[in-house]
Amino acid sequence: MQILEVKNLHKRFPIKKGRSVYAVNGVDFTVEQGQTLGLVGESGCGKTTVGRCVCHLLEPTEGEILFRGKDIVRLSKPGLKNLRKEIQIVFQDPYGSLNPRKLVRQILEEPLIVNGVNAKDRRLRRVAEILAMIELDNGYLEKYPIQLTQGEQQRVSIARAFITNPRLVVLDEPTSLLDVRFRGEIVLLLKRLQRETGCSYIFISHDLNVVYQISHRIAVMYLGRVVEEGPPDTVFDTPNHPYTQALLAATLFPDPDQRRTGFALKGEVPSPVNLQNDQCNFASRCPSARDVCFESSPKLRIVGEDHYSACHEQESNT
Amino acid sequence: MFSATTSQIRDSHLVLYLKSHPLQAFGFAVSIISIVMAIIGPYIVPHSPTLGVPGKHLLPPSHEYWFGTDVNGMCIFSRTIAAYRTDLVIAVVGALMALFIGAPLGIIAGYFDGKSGFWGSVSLAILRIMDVIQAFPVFVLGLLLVAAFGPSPQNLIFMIAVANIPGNLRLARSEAISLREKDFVESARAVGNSELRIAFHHILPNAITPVIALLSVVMGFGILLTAGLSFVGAGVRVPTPEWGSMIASGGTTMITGQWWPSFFPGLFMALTIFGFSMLGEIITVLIDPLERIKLSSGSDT
Repeated sequence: MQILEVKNLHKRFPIKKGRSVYAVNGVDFTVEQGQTLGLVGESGCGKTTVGRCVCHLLEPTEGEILFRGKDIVRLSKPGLKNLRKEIQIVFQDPYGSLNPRKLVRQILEEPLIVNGVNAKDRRLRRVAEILAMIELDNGYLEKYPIQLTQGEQQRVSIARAFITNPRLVVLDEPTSLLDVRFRGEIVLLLKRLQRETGCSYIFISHDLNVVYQISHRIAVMYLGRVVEEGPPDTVFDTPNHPYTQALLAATLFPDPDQRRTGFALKGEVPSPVNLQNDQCNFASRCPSARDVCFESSPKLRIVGEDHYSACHEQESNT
Repeated sequence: MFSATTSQIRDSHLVLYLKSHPLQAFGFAVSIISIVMAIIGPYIVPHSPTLGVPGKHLLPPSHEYWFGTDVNGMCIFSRTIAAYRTDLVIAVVGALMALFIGAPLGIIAGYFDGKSGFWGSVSLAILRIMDVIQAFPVFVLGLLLVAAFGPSPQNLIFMIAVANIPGNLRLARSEAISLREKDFVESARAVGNSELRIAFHHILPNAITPVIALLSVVMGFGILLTAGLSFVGAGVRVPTPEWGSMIASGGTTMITGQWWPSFFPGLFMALTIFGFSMLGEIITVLIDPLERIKLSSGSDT
């Protein structure tokens, strides 16, 4: 069953002189109940913007976001309050996302207070419960964020997101600022929490290794568009879109026998200011770009079993 | 909420800090003495601080009159000690009013800065009002207020508050503007906090440290302003013991060699202002969790 469906999502940020940054240009995807969608792409491709739109922290310029079949883009105040419990977000910077003036206990209690759990003993019971789930002992309750290690800080952030029992959690690069030794344990924790609570994830990252480990489905984004989508094994073993191929070629896998062919990307990502979207956005950097790539924008189409790609090259092959 | 254990923890942090910072410890002692004097000063002085003894004017410091007497034959020591109450009450109440009005308004002005809607307009209105207040030189504003409402301690307090609200407000505002971009604010929004709750529950505690540090400066400034206005005759009237007016009345005798009517109140005023600035520094350190942890783990030295 689908828990989230994003249809034709656009987000433009107005800047000076009537121009806009086109951060997200028509993104479609779905997230299945209890599964993880991995959203990958380089910095500035709009993956974080998509995540914030889903969490209702940003208002999309266009498009629909259906959560359990209901559009959540335009919500009344009480409706929004209910939604906050259901969709949560974990940020990249473990320290920055915790209020430095509050104790861990206060940080974890807060979502319950705002959501009307007035009985203090009920709140504390839930805090103790969630603390056990993230494998921290009660001694951490009376500590300030600065006293925790990065890994523990990120655990507290995750605990805060899970304390209201959400159905969907947006994980906005939760591992990319962590030391390598904390990365593995956070990924394992997230996988276990998903098994125990049955909630769905949108996992945003540029670390392909981590995304591969945690995702049930992967969407590769480039300049505000999804260019390739499919199950992780399919996308990693038989990447279709040239951008995905380049991304994989640039990634180091911890397997000495694994050799990937591909090409190194040249040049810079084009400016997302006043993007026209009348050509393939990748065409300027694509080694196999042809005339058609500069004339029309390719749509996502099926290229294999449950495997989609937006490339003109593929159209001519089929 | 504030149980005995938390206050014990605070105390021990304070003691730890003072032990390693002698200057701050001295300032702390001076502030405590100032506050005690403000409470008991008028009851312990050897002579009446408001009554002059005829024929005993301008006596130099002696056994009977430790700081000498002034032109009216009043004991300068008694007056200097009794003045603690006048000056401190005016400065402290004025500074606290500036803090309690300035800081919350500054948080609103900063957090909703550049946003649309009701609070955005409030933010804009607050800033324009501050511009108007700040367009007047503080001293002139003080003279105007005193001219309009007459010289009284209440008016001085009001004056100090009005003169210092813009400073407090702008400081809180700039803190709020930098804090509102932080991830923890976004997280607070994501868990369902209302905008006002974010402003006062999440931004305010983080923005308040420099404003509290400013408090001591404002207090010192308040004492100076009180003294200054009294000096030109617009503040506290003469029989009431007050440092500024005492310095002023001593000014005329300074040139004829009688230095004591101005010197002692000036010295006490300077000491008190120093004490409060140190107190502000201590408070800044102690309300910062990071500093507190450093203190109790002993890594500060």
